Amino acid sequence: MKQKKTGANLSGKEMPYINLNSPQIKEQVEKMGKILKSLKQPIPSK
Amino acid sequence: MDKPTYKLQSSTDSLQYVFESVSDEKKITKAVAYIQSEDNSDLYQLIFGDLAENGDIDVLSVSNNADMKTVLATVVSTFFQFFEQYPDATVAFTGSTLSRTRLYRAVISGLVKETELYYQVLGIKENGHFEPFNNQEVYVGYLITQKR
Repeated sequence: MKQKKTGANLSGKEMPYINLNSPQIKEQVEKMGKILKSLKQPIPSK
Repeated sequence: MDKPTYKLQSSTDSLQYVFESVSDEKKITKAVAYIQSEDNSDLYQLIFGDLAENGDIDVLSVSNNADMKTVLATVVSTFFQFFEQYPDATVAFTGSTLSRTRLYRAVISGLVKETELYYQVLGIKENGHFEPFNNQEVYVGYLITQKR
């Protein structure tokens, strides 16, 4: 069965809904995006 | 990590977490979300703040619940679960305000010592260069990867 992306977790409680499309989140993501675009070195990866 | 943390609830994809910040006066639901970059599938932005009833995360709220260290230690504790599922990921984050980014520096400084065996923490300077975290430097953001 395909696992749902969100839902009950190990504690058995239902995860509250989190809106990732709110203006504040978008603004924060854009802010970090600008910082990342300004990087003079490649983003490190493992 | 031996700092006190709050008990976490997490989504099954390990990208969203909630916990309650508790004091004698109030309980505040906090949320942590890792948002995958559209340009780089291994890059995630860490977002953190108070969770409103409508599901919005208020990244600017000032809780004054006298538990900042426990709250931030709890945010850091999400790394363990996140990186278990996304071992090749790089996590990027910045404060919602300049003063908060500075505040994170102070807290990260302590937490880096406890987690340095597991994670590499890099500070991004205003000139676009990044370097291993140094608590004497001013950074505009941070990058975290899991050590090999």
